Amino acid sequence: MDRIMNYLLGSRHRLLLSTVLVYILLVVIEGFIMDRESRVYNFENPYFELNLNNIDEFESRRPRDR
Amino acid sequence: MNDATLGRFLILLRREMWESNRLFVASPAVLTGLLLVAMLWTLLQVPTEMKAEALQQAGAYLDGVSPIDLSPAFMVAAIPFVAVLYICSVIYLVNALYHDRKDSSVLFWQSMPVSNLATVLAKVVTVCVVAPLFTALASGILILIAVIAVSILGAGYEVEISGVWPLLGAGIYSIVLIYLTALLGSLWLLPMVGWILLFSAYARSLPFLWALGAFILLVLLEDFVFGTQFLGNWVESRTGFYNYLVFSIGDFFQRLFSYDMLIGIVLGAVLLAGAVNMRRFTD
Amino acid sequence: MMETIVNARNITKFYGDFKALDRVNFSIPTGAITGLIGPNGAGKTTTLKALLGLCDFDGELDVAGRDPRKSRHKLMEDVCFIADVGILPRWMKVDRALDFVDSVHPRFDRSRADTFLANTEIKRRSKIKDLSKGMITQLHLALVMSIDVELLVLDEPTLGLDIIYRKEFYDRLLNDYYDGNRTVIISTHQVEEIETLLTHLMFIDRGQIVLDMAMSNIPDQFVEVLVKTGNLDAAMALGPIHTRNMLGKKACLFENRSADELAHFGELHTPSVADLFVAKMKSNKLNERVNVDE
Repeated sequence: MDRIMNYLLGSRHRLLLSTVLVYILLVVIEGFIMDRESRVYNFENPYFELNLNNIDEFESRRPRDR
Repeated sequence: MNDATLGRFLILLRREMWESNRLFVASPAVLTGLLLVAMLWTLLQVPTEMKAEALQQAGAYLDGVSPIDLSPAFMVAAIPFVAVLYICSVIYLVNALYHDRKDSSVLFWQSMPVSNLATVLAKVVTVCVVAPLFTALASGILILIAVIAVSILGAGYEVEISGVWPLLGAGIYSIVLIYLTALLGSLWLLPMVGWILLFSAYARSLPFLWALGAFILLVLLEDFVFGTQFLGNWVESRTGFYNYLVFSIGDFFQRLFSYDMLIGIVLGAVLLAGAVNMRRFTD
Repeated sequence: MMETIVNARNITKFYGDFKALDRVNFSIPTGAITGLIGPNGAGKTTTLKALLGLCDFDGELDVAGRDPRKSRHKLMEDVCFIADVGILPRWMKVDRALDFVDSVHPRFDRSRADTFLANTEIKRRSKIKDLSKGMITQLHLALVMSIDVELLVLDEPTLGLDIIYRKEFYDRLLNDYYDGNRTVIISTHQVEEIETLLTHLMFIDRGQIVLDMAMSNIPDQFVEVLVKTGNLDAAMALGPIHTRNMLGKKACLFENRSADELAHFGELHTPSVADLFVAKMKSNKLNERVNVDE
């Protein structure tokens, strides 16, 4: 355990990554539990809904007449 | 915590104020001065009849209103001060753990028997607890001068302003509310404080760019790769005007112990722990 | 009181691929004034940083009973240092710097610092950035000498200073500060200046300790002979570690040779630290690692 901690916190870069990762993880868990919903951005621009997992769907949805 | 520890922490706070005097003391003071000048100029410009009529209407409106109910109205005056406070706070935080590494004076600080935790905590307390004091005072002075001016004017135009004292009381109470609002706002944004301090301690140059860039990158990455917006939602939950305003002391404690506030403090603490640890790397 | 205030075992430090310290071993006795001497890039600053908890390393290090990596701020109650660059914060006023150290250091003697400063041209209300380099060093020294610590570490403290400030610095250090119980470690490449101060000597080159001994032992181990021309070949046969030319004669530096062996070659004397340093650096390049135990 000690050695893992020493590794994760051993250089400034690893420390940054570890801290940010833990933070993001907590944010995600909290958002999941509390069921947070976005109130702000629901952009119309289709590029904002670009999700690499759905690239095919995106291709078919993209407006042709521009 | 015994006396010695408190004394040592206090000198750390004083050291922060010595270094950042211009950001936290001079800026609000200058703003007060500017707004006073603006006020004076307006008073001189507005024709006498309009002034008398405005005072008459104000007098009628304020008649019988209690100071406590009145104070929130005064808080409008604090808006520019709080804006200045936030801008100065960001500047302060970006440099807090960066500047002394740039000019090597960090080696002096590290040669003192002060723990990294105490160092970082002192900076957090400075920005969240101490700096708002000067903001509240500066805006308070403006409010009080305005109240006194209006009362004198009212007397001059023989307009009934229902007593100077309730107004003054409202003014003083509003100073307290302004302080609590600023304090609460800073605590509410503890995650952002922690984020900036983390990058302030990490970056070898351009810490603000790092803090901002990393954040934007993460938000975009999350959406592009996972299609989720947890990070964005989390940050967005920190905005919302009504989360900040404190209209009564009861308000303050209610907000302070709300779930959102507490979870924010916990997450902010995670980032601050990172910043404390990052302080070990002085090269 | 501990016999040795610093114990270093197998200290290794890499900066990326560069090996700054290579299994360094040494001990510093309490009450010593040790000179850590080496060329630029030898590892002097890295060694001192390791001692002060300012950088990470592999190995075991014990400074005043603590591991510098674990409890830097506790260690700083017993250890003080002056790093080589002018590191006092430039924006601070002199009197506030005094207030700060006073409040933060449990063993700071304010009146002592005031007395030291009274003998300088430093004005209390000045900002540190308005002081000359020599005055900044004076101030830093005044601060440091007023703290009752067990170990004082000085990393090139007089770099770039006028000779007057330099002399005053070492004068103060020796007379006002050193009391036989406190330990001082000075790193420098200006060997001649501190030669007379030192009780112990450590040479470091390319991350390795090349010499570690008390000054009092040097005459036993190292002898320099001013060899008369006729005796030169015989002298060279005994394998001097270094030779130099002096006024028509050759000075040969021998290690671990008795005075009897060498007496008939010419005048004998103890080499200066500077000559010893040059000799050791040269021989380190040629030899395997040489570690002289006390």
